[in-house]
Amino acid sequence: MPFPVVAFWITVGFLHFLPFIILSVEKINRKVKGKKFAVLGARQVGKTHLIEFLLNGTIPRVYKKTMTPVKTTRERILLRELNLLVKESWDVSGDTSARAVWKDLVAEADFVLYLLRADQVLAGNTDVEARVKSDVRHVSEWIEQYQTTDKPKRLLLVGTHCDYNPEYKSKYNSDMAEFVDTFVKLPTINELVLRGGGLKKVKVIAGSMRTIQETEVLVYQMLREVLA
Amino acid sequence: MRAIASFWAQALDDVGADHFFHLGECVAEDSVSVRQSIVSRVAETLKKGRRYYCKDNVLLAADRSSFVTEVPMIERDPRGRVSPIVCYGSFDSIKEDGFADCLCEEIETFAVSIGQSVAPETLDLVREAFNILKKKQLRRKAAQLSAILLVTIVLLAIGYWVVMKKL
Repeated sequence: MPFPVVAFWITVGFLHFLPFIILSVEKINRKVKGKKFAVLGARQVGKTHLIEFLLNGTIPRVYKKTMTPVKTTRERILLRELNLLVKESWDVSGDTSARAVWKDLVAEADFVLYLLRADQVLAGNTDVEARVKSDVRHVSEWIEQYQTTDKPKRLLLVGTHCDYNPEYKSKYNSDMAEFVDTFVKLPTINELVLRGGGLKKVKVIAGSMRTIQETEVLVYQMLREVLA
Repeated sequence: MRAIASFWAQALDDVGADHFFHLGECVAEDSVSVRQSIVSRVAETLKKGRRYYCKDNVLLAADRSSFVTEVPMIERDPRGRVSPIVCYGSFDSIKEDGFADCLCEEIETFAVSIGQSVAPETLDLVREAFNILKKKQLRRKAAQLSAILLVTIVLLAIGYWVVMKKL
């Protein structure tokens, strides 16, 4: 076979596999470079607690209110079979006056973790529901504004403080899936998911962070959604 | 007395809206833009600036144009968490004489206005923090001046050498 014909077929073969090569390199890059989280939510929902567990595997015993942003470090999280590199980010205040700071975090993040008091939503606390709806509306708008096709952003709604709900206590270790299902099907949560663009874009999990074990279960669920 | 800083603190009951003071005046709850701008400036200073002091929950950070200090109050929230007051101000004001004392007075006034208090020893730490910052700034300026002087001398020496060579 003459040389130009061989060169031609090698080029055709290379061009054919080029998209797969690029995709693989991107996948590897993503794994090596890690993910950036924006942990958001109203006051006392467990933002600092979650960040502390994600980065150090511990839960804070005594801590101060998060007012000024605190820089979090870049860490590799190893939880059971899951392995994820988390980029540095910021632990920020939960007050509505910090929304401009939240917006900056969303702009840089791959995943937005919005924490909410599941016990309060389950109890039908209208103040909490109003705050959560307003927050998620803002967060969804920012996600829409900042996401690009090559860098999509995902929203994960994390229900916390389930241990304050009597049903959770009775179903813990036995029928947790049913409990979480009840939470996900609440009209308020449904509305939040719709505001965020539907179940394809928004995932919902719920649990408790009362103990290290319970925090681990919640973080495991969270990481599975992130890595899915 | 001229106000030298903006102040921000959370409601101790963890339910009410945050308290803000700007230019010596209380910022109303519906002044969303002023509140958000104070919080954003605080965040910006911490992101771009450097932490100069951190002791017993007293924090001082600054960048070229502004400073942020976090001062813990005596009272704790219902969960026993330390509740701080955040102060934000222009870096230029630090150079004024008696700045730290003025700031401490303002911190006390703000704390009282929101029904809380700051321990005198905490305010001593605030004074210490600003003294350290001032000293570091002086050292930095001295280093900058020395560098400029050195570059000038080198340039003059090169110029002199070139002129002498031509002659």
